[in-house]
Formats: sequence, C-alpha cells, structure tokens
Amino acid sequence: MTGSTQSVTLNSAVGLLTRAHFLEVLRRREFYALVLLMGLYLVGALVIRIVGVEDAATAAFVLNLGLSLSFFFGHLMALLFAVRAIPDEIESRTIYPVLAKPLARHYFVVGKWFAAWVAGVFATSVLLLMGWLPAPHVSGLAAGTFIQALVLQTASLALLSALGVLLSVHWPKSVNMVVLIVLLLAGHRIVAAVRGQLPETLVGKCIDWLIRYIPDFGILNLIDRYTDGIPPLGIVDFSLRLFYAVAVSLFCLFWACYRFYRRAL
Amino acid sequence: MTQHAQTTVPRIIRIALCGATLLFAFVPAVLDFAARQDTPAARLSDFAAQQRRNSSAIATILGEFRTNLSDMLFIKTERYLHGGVAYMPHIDADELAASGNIAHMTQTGEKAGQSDETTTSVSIAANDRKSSATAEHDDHHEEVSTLIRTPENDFRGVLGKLEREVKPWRDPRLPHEHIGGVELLPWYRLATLADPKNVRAYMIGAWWLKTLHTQQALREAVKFIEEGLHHNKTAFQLELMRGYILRELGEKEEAAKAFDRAVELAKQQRPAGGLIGRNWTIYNEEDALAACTMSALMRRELAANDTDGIKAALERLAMVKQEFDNMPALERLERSLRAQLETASQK
Repeated sequence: MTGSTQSVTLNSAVGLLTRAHFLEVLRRREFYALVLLMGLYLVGALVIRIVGVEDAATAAFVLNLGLSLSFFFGHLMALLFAVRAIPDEIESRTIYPVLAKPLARHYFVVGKWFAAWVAGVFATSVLLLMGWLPAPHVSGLAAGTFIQALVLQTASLALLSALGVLLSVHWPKSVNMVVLIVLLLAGHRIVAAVRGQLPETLVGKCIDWLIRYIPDFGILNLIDRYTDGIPPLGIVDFSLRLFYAVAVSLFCLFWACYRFYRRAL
Repeated sequence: MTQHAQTTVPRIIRIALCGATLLFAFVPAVLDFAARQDTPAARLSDFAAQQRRNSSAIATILGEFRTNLSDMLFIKTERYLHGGVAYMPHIDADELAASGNIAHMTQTGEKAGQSDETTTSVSIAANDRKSSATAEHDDHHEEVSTLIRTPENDFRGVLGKLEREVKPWRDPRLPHEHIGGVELLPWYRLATLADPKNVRAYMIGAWWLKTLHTQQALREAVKFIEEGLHHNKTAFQLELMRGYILRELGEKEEAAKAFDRAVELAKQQRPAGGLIGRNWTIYNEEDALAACTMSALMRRELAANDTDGIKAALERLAMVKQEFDNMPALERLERSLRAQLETASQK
C-alpha cells in the first residue's frame, strides 16, 4: 500500500517537474538556436538534392552529417538542461518552495534528470526529421542498424542527462558543461589514446580497468556504422551496450540522489 | 545561512545506490566483452569508403569540416606533403606515401602485383630511394585541380590573384612538389594516438620512418609497428610491414617469421577465392599477395646457395598456393622461379 502510494507520488512529482521543465525548454532560446543551426544543414541538403548527388558515397556522407548533427544537437540540449537544472533552481531560490511541498529530494533529482532526458529526446526527434528527411537516398543501408542507433542514442541521452545532473551537484555549471562536452565529443578517443599508452604491467592493467569507468559515449554511437551500410550489431553486443548505458545512468542518478541528500541547500 | 540542512538519506536510495554500484562495477568487463563482439570493419578502417568520401564533390565543398578526425588528419598530411598547396581531394595516401610514380601501391606502401622475384625485391629498394628525398615526380604526372582557381578559370580577377599570391598555390599543370614525408610523422603519431585501430596510419608512419634508412629510424619503425600490432592483433598488413623493416635491418630470420605470420593472418581473413567485398578490399588482396610472395622469397634469401634457396622458395610457394586459391600472381612467381632454377642448374 505504502509502495503504491509512493509510486503515485513519485510519478506525479516527476510528471509535474518534467512538465515545468519542458515548458522552460520551449521558452528558452537554445532550442530555437539549435533548430536554426540545423536549418543551415537543411538548406544545404536540399540544395544538394536539387543539384544532384554524383555517387552513393557522397549521399552517405550527407546523411552521416545530418544524423550526426541532429544527434549531437539533441545531446547538447539534454546537456544544457541537465547541468543547469539544479544549480539554477538553487540560485533563483525556487528550489525551497518546491522542497517545502514536501517533496523528497530524490524525487526532485529524478524529475530533473527525466526532464533533461525528455528535452533531449524531443530536440533529437525534431532535429532528426530535419537531418534525415532532406538527406539523399542511400541504398544498401540496414534498417536494423538505424533502429539500434536510435535506441542507443536514446540511452546515450539518458546517460548524459544523469551524468549532467550528478556533476551539477558537485561542480559549477561552466566546469560541468566543458567536461561533458569534452567527454561527449572526444571522450572515446582520449580514453583510447590513454589506454593505448599504458604498459603491459599489473599497474598498467589496473589503470586500464579504472579508465574504463569513464563514461564512453562512443560505443553508443552507431551512426557511422549505419551510413557505412554495416549490418546491425549482434543481439549480445547490442544488449551489452544497452546494459552499459543503463548501468552507468542508474549509478549516476542514484549517486546524484545520495549526494543531493547529503548536501546543505 | 542555509534554509535546508543536509538530511538523512532514505533507505531505498541507499539500497538503490548499492545495487547500481554493483552493476557499475561490471562496466569494464562489459566494455571488454562488447569490444570482442564487434567484428565488422569500422568506418575508419574501411579504406575504400574513406577514398570514396574524400573524392566526392561534397567533401570538396565542405572542405575540412568533416565529422571524422581521421579524415581531417589525412587531408592535413596531404596538404603538408604538397608544401601547403591545397589540391582537390584525390587522396591516395599510399601512393603519396611512396612519393608517386608507381602505378599502384598496396596499403603497406610496397609495390604489389609484381609477382616475379626480381622486380619485387628491386622495386622495394627503388621505391625507398624515390621516397626518401624531396622528390618531384614529373613522370607519370596526373593533373589535379587546386582548391584555389587558376588565373584562366578565376572570375575574381585581382582578388583571385591576391589569393594566389598570399596562399600556397602551384599551377596544377605543373608536377606536384612533394616535401619530405618525414615531416608528416607527428600527424601519423597523432592519428594513432587518437585511434589505435587506425592500421593505415601505423603503416604509412612506419613506411616514412623506413625511408630514412638509419638504424635508429628503422628501430623506431619496428617499435611503431609493434605498437600497432599490440592494438590490432589481426592486422596482417602490419606484420607484412614489420617483415619489410626487419629485412632492411638485416634481421632476415625475424623478417621471414613476420612474413609467415602475415600469411597466416591473411589466410584467416581472406574470403574463398579472394572475393573482393566490404571486408576484403583490393588492397587487402594485394597485401596478402605481397605477404605470400615475401614469405616464399625469404626462403631464398635465407638459404646457403641460390639453387637451394630457389627450391626452398618453391616449396614454400607450393604450400602457400594451397591455402590461397585464385591468386594468379603466385602462378607467375612459380614459373619465374622454375625458370631461374633451370638456369641455375645449367650453370
């Protein structure tokens, strides 16, 4: 009975927070700025379609660019909202009436994470239409890979939002934003470069193991795979990647909840 | 003054955090397992796809705004190789790596398809000599447009002239001027640091080091290639390149072992009949051929006298031919060796 009541409370609390946050997404300029940027691609892609594409590789390149931009901008949207969600509430002191409801602190954190995720998914969906529809037709692409790419990118948005919320409990917004953008754009390469230089010793292996705890968004990005016409991942591989995203997201989220309780506001 | 002090963490959050931490602890193992699952060639390693992308008109329009770091690095290396002159994308980095005037280069930078014994060993040395200097390959020159227009095609008049004056530019009708590829080495290093799976960067970097012809550079090249092999255990091209470098170092037995390993790895990856496709390109086939050829010819170099050497090479060739069907160049090599054996016996 108690569990059921709590569940309803959690749902309604998260629902309300998400709704409020989503309205904020629509009010803010960032979303429209991203749509405008994506519009530049849209115009370019339409011009290319009118002029004509000379070969499949070029078409695949344009499609890759469109999908990469839409997913990146979607991530950027989720990131912006995740890193600002809690600090902005504290700065503007609007957090106090919210917590005075009374609302459990973890509801607040989960609500903010969910809202950032939904904002990211919403932005990605809108931008994806702009990035995908005008792109020239490419033959020989695997629909299964595209579906996997969509699922993993959605999971990637959840992971980024959770990480953003977690870091926002600890770090200032600007630092958090820079760290997350570096992780998102170059984390995979940096980690690979560092791992590549580690010696084959026990210490090297231990460091290698620890480095792999750094969130890696690269393994959740299948866009290149899709536009190169590579078949879908095997079920085990796909499940492992999904598990990875879920495990890291849950850890970040619960750790953020824990730290938020331990923090004086 | 704070309005809300820190509070006690609810039990449910503690339990959830413990569970999530437990899941998180397995993350490195999951990543390891996932890395082992993903076998098909990724975009970066798909050389043919990269070639197509770089030669497309859109790639020209977008210039260096690429989604792929590796592509950007290759464009940079090409531009440096041409002394800063920006040509239309036409990258065949392998040909460039060997400074040109050869009809076709394998991914290792060695001349492929030369099945007979004399041309193989001679061409390697010749290619080395050609690529070691600031060669200007005016023979076999193919005209490639520059990004900055020529005076005849430039509607901008004085502005165009100004751009040609202030930016590196060379008349595309003139042969390209290639600067020493050694200056490109930091880029290849960067490429391999950015992506340790970039087999081509390892090969071309090692090739340029090899062209320096000094013991130190050759040792560095071996080290570089071995680092590549550490990250790409099945890349038979790296074993092939390692064999070439060790051969130049005079470590012929080690070189022979490297060529044999290259053959073994190539055998595991080559589809039946050497069918060219996404996972087995013409470059792979040519490198496999080079590995088979060198594996046989090293037997000859290791033998005490020429007749025994040719016999040993023929023996090895017979073994290799059984494992690599539909490789006509091996037949030609066999015929050439048999002819040489006859000549040697008559003497």
